Amino acid sequence: MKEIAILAIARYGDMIQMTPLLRRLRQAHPGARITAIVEDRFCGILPLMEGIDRTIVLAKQEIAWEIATGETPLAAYGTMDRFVRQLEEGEYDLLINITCSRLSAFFASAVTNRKATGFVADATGSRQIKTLWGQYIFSWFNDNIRKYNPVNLVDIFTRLGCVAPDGKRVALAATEKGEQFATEFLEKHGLAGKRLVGLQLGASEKIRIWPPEHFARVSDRLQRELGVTTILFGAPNEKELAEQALAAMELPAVNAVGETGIEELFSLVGRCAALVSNDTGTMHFAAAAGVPTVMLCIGPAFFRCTGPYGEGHVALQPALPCSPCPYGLDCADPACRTAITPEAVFSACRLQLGDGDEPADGDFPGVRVYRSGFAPDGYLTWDGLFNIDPEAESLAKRRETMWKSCFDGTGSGAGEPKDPVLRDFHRLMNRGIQTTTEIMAAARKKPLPVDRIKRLGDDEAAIEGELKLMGYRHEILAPVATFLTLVRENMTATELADVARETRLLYETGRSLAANL
Amino acid sequence: MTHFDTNITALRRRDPDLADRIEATEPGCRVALERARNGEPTARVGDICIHSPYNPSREAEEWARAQAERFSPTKPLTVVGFGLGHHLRALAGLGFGGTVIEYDLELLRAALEQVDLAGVLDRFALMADVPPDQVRRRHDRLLKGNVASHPASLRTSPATLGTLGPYAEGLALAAEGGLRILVVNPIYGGSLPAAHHCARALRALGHQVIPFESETLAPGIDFGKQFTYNQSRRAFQAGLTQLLSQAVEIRVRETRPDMVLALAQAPLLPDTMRRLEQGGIPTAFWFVEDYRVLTYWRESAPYASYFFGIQKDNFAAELERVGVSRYAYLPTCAAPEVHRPLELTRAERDEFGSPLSFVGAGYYNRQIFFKGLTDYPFRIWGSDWPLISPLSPYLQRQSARIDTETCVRIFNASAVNLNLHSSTTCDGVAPDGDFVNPRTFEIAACGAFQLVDRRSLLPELFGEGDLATFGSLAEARDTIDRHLHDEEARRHVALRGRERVLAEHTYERRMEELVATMVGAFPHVAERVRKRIERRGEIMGNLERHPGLEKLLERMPDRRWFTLRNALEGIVTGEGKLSRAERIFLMLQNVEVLWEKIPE
Repeated sequence: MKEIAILAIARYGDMIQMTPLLRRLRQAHPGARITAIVEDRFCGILPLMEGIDRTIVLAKQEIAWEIATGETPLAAYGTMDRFVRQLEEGEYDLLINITCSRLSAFFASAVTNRKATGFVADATGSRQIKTLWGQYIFSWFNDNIRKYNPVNLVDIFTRLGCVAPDGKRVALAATEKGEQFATEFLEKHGLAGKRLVGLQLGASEKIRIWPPEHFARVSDRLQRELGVTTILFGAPNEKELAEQALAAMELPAVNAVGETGIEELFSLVGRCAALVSNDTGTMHFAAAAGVPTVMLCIGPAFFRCTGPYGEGHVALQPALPCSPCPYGLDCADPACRTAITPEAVFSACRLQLGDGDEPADGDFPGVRVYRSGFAPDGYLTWDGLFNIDPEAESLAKRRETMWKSCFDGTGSGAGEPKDPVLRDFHRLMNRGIQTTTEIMAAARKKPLPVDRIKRLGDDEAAIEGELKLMGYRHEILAPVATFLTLVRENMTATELADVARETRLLYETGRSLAANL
Repeated sequence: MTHFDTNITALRRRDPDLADRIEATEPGCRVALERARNGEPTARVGDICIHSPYNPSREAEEWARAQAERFSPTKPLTVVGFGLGHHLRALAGLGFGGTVIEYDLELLRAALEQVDLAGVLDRFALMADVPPDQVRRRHDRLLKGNVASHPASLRTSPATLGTLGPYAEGLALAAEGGLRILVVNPIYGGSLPAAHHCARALRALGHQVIPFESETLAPGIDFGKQFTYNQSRRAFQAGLTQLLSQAVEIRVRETRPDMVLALAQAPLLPDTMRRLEQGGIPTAFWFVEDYRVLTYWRESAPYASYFFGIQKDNFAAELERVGVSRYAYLPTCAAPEVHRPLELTRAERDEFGSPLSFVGAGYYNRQIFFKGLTDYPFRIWGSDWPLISPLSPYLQRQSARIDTETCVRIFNASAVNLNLHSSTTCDGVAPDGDFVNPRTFEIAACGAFQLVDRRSLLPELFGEGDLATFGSLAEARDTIDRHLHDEEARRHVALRGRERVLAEHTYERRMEELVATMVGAFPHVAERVRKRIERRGEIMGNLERHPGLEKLLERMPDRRWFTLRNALEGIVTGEGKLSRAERIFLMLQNVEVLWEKIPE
């Protein structure tokens, strides 16, 4: 491969999460030129990222401003046109779209490529999702089955690049500017040589934010009981949160909120012994710097999807049936914000800092605690530590195996499953394979046996209906059925035989999933 | 022969009246004549040098060459500012000709005395006696073509030339660029249809109108009537106005117009106008009321970015007293698409027509005056007439309110349409009446014959013979008698009146004037429009680089103005192959715009 493009119209967190993809692409295609297509708001992280040869920057803020200020659409058109012209230049051997948005799909459609993965728009503007991993991520991205996903986004990004995870953490390279700032900041505040614990107060949405007063309680205990110094991180728009937290503290933390640019933040986080964070870019910075993290899973935040990518991080997920909630939910009673108690977070910090006795379940009231590590195949995995439901934990592991083995072709399961629900589903998939095979055969006949094809089509429609119903009725099948439904929606064939062939492939995938679950 | 002799002779050939007036002008002390370093005559007004104190000819030639880059000498050029004429000599030398506008006779005399301008006066006509507002209204062609402003002249005469230069620029920019204008309608009342006409006119001129339809809350006013006391009703209405005024600010933030236009009675509070202007969005407030009768302008006018009214000097002086410096006279007008000649059926003629008719409310002066016309076959239409009075037999429809379409039929069907401006104090014709009411323009726009009372501002709006006028009952009766049985004379007058309205007094013309004034007065608005023109030009000038855009633009209501929504309306995904332009618009549709990101 000579030319590879990564479409990442995404926030800092996603940009960091694509660093293993970059690393693996570099290893797999050492001579290739890698172009990153990013948006202006988050391109400040580029100096920290290795492996990118060229960038194309979308002036999204300028375009949004032009739309917001009601200018002639031709103004925004002109700005977008300049960006699209850059996309249209050249030809790529591989285009990887890691962004799950319609906007990125249209961008992908402007890039000439030999192979594309992820979300693209076809010539008519319709959605197409390329590769099984691409379809998989879309099946849960905007649905309530996301809570069943066991595969980290970083691994999915890597697989979208048709390369395998390597069991190493996300990685950024500190800059001289950032390092100098960190050193001066620590000196200025008399922190050199002290053990620091970072607290990231904000998040991209209000629903993902742990209360600042809780952060204050943890900060006080950390300082008082463990003798560490706490330091507050955040963007300038999070100053109010910092003020609230500081006002609630008995022992004030060092306030770095709004003081750091991206490079400075990374270097300063890197000086910490641990970080407590909502699901944020700062958390991914810590993961990239190898700083042990305590992730607070509030609202839709879910460690299995977007948890810190690396070994030894701890995630606290509220022990609530609704946690994690779907994206975009307007929750009237965000119990998850207070379900994670300061006591539990303090215990997690102690665990990460290696201070004190080995904690027990009782030290984490109201939350389930997990720790990250790498599986032998290089994927990230999470193991339950405290307050774990063994059955749910086992199912998560089974699902992890199922998706990976099916999509990567590494599965060993072939026969009928023993579980009665899975067995019925397996059989249904076999019926689907049988029916679609018959349709393919009938489609080759001349003259076309119209009545037979119609009957077979009705049979297939019934199988499809039953598949969906099983997904609704049996929780264990919900993600599989949703995924297969998306695969069907994504079919592009128009000729009868081709449609039948694609549909058979769908049932074969379904059968493989059932066999490997 | 002196320069003056040669020049005045040349001028006399073109404009003997002006030549006489200049000859009669005594040299004054306003203009200080001096010699430039190179020996040429130059002049100052106060601290302002009209020409270079070093080398006036070289400066003039540089300026003229800059104009030659903008305009072709084959087309007439309007020059704002005469100065001592150095720049005009340079223009004439490049083959330019046209019209020069200058008001300072003392300066003109000095110029004619100091500089050989015979060549200039051969090529350029001189306009020295038409007030700026009439230049804008009646001689607008001069300002719509190629216009070059002499910068020093604009500075020395800010009230005259200083307004015409930026105005001409505003006209050109507005016509080419098109503005985004939020029009705030009143909740109800006589200004509401005027606001609708304004919006229609603005659209016809190629501007994008963002409507703020306060009238949809008119039921709120009815609800308020349920309150028992006047005080409580007023309190409720004040609350409603407050609410709507705040809503205007929200709408402005959402839509980011270039300017806001509000008509009298619009729910726009001073604080709102102040905040809008602070945010860079000026408000034009058109007060289409008699300032002596409705006095709430005292609160509003100081906060409007530009105040427009239907009265001239007295009102301007009153406004100045409350600190309003940006005021322009903008008379009422008609909407010819509404007030139009109609072919009526016989039944309609019977129903609406009469030899003498009047449409309007029963103001005090009309009640008195019309008694003197009761020996004519007279029909009186309109509301608020006392039902028991000597006029009762003449009242139509029991003094019900008459809608616009019925008005149009009455004007078209009646031989003599009487128009008496209202007064609550006079017995008949108001002796000091100044402004001209909308009815004057509306009757004329219908191509109907009208007899209107004399107003001080009438002669500059209508020419001799465009209308029949009266100053007293006797004169009115005499004119009625003369015209009642002379259909040809009536037709002649009506035709001229209609032509005048169509040429000078439509809503389109008024809005053109208002918008150009705003663009001329607010440089940041002009800059926005200029930038828009440039950006649009970049794309429109290279349509071949944008496959599918030409076709997409064909579907737009106006190429200057269309919204993202307009562009997206015709794009269908999942069917045919999308053009490149369509794909780009779909990309724009998917760019998320958050409320927090919209500038306040």
